[in-house]
Amino acid sequence: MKNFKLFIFSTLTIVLGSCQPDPVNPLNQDYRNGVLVVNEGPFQTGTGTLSFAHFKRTASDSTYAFLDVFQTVNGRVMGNIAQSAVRVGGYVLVAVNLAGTVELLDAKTMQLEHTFTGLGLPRYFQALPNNRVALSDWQDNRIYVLDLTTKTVVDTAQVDAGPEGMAYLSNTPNGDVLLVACSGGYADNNTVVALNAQMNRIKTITVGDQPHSFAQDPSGTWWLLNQGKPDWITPANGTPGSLYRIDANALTASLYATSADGSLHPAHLLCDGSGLVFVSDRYAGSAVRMPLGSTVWPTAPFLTGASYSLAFDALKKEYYSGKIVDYSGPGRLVRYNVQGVALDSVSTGQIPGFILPESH
Amino acid sequence: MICTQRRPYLAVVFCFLLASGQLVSAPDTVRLGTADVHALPFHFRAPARGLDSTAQGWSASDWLHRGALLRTTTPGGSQLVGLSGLPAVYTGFHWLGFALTSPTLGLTDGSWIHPAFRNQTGVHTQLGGQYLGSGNLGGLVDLSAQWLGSEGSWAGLEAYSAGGGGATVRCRTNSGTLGFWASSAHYRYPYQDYLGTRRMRTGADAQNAQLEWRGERRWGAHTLRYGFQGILQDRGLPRSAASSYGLGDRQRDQRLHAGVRWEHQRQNWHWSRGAFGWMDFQAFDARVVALRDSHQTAGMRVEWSGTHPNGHVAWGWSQMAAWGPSHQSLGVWDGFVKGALQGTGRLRPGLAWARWDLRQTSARSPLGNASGGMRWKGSNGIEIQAARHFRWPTLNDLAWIPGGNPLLLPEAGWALEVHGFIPHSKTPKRPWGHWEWQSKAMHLTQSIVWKPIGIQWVPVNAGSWSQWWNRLRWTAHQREWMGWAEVQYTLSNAAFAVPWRGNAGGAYRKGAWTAGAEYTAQAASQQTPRWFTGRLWGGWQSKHWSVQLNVQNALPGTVEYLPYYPNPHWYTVINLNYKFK
Repeated sequence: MKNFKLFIFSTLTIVLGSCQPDPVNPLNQDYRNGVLVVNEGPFQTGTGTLSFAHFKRTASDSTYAFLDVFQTVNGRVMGNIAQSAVRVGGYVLVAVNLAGTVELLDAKTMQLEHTFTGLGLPRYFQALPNNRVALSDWQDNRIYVLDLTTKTVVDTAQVDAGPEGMAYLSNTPNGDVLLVACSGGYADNNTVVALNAQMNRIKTITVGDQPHSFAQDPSGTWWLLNQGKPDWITPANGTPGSLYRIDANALTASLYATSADGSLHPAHLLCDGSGLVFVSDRYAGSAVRMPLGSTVWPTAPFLTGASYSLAFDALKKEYYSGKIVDYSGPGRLVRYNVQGVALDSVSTGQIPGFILPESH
Repeated sequence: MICTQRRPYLAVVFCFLLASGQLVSAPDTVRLGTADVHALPFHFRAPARGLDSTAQGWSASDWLHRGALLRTTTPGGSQLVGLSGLPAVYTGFHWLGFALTSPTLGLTDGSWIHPAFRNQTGVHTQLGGQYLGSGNLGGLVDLSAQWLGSEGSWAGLEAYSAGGGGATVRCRTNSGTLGFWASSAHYRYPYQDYLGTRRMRTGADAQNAQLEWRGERRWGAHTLRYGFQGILQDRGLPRSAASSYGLGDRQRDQRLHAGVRWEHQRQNWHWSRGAFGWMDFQAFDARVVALRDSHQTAGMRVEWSGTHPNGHVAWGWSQMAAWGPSHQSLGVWDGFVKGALQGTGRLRPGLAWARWDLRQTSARSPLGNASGGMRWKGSNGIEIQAARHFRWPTLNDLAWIPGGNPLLLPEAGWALEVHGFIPHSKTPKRPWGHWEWQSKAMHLTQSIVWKPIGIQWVPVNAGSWSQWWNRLRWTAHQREWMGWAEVQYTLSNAAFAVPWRGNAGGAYRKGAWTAGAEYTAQAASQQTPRWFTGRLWGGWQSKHWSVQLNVQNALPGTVEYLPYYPNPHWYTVINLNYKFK
């Protein structure tokens, strides 16, 4: 009986222990239990990386990070300029910009399942129904539809220059609609292209200069953040960033708020449930917060320090900010509570440009 | 803007004529700056030159042999040469005593060395280069260490196994030497991308055409040297092997250089005055997106110097302008005055003052430059030198669109060097050959770094670094055999620093036949991977004909000097030359 109790105790210890994250071995992880950070890597002469961070939330837990889980797990590099990522079904997809690829990974193990090649300059993802994902691409100003079941590109659509962030609007009077912010890419543009479920253009909406990203608030209203057009010679003469409200039924957009500073060009819009949060300038701006209902453009930093990337975990009510330290070494991922107070931080790969929280 | 710059140019011409009216002159000022002012007795030479004389074209192997840091070695491709363990922006290139360095990028491309004048090139890594002006902390490449040289006339053909070839003609006359070089390297070779897919490199081709004339007239105690260089380059830049396969960007360079120097000896004084003018055009055509950057610069420099066995004085002035779609139009001038004591004492102090002025703003930066050298004659040559270093901002730093910062100050710092050697002359029968070592401690402040500020990348004076660089070289020559080995060791907090680098080789010559092998290895830096490469060669030469076969990177795998930019794992270059009587 004593041996039996010992056996049960030992078994439980092993089983429960195996449920805990392993802070040492990157090959023995459940990568759904943490934050993924897409790091751009050095421009032109390097490769992007995928970092993983697990933050301590219980007494028996610990905080740890792995800087390059893609190469560690799969034995090869990810390619030049990793751009963004998305979790869909049991997969994580990573867009690698100059490599023209999308890496399809098992969300739990980070094992490489497939590489979509032959793309141009992939930028951002938007999950679609039926295990499909839309991908914006600057090369030929296209939207690609990736089918994760067949692991093929099943559709494309031509949009305006520089497609960036997307929003999927279901059950509108026009049916399911995919909105694509067309920033102009390396030039300038000011349109949002609406595509129907067949990926046909049904409308082109004029918005502010260089539209970048969408967010939806709890009332169902969609918001669009426009970066504004920079003036490289006299920065103050640039067109300022702006916030547009989208009417999903009429497929129209109306100006809601405008920045007073034409030298700053905001990016990375998200909604935390009671406010809109974005980075005041895409290169070295601070995260600012605009409460829903306010029309005053926010200027006071909400999160400390500059943010090169920004994310919000809606379940854990935490913000994440990606920090560039010196462009030639590791970056930093800082976790903040919902009041914007920094909690802790871990190292990431070089130039953390996109954050994928645990609950996304 | 351009019209308003005519007046300074006229002033420059006037100053030159005024100076020339004094009819005082001196030997080549490049050699004054290095060999005389600082009494640098020895330069790192290419010890295998005598055994490797059948190769007439300047190639990357020469740079590897001379201890330079390189990022590419493709025939005809861009060669950015770093000396003393520093990046290429700290290497100065001089021609007829004038800095050739492109004012836009602050760089000189090693591929600008004309193959017909390769043997007139000297490489100096001692601190003497500091005295010569901005951006010489790493060292100085003197393209006219000998203006005409002792070579006669010859013509050569070369062919590359990766596709393409070139032709060189050197024609020596009574009044000067004409050099012509044209090459086209297709540079197709297999490599493996990061996905493991085997591909054929395309779009990394290079077309080069260079014409250079060097003339010399002598009468009495006067010597007039003059020259002209025209360079046309059109080169494909390979895409990273971690990128999607496709054509890389393309770079086009068109340059004209012209210079004249009048030298005169009067009693114990050598007097020299010179003028140099240039025009350049550079364009980058991006392939991934339809972007094109281009800019032009033009400028003129004048210098006047006098050298005495006990001292040296000099002043100079530059005026330049830049314009084009990727630059704001601007004009910049800089000037210097310097003087040094030398000759009789063991302590040889020098002092220089330089000033730099960007016309568009009120930003001005007077800067002192001081150096001194000490030598003990009885200790087989040990020298200690200290020098203040400075580097002007480049025109890109000042006026690039977007982001150029006209308020930048020059980089500045100090360097201390200890240099020792046991020359061949002191050890004619010693089996251990010739030893030379060099140790250089460098510190630089207000380093110019491009950082994102607001919406754009902007160069700012930020950060500093310190580096201690050491070099030991051994050369032995026994009858038909020659061997050499070199190791460089660097302690540094700079991201570009390479911790160590080694080079070793041997050569054998029997009658008309020559064979040799040389290997170079470099440790990884924060920015570059470690690599190992080798070269094998064999040749034959008669009174008029010579032929040499080079096998570059004679290793089973590719070599990457930059991450994900693989060079071919091996390729051959064949030279066939005919020497006229």
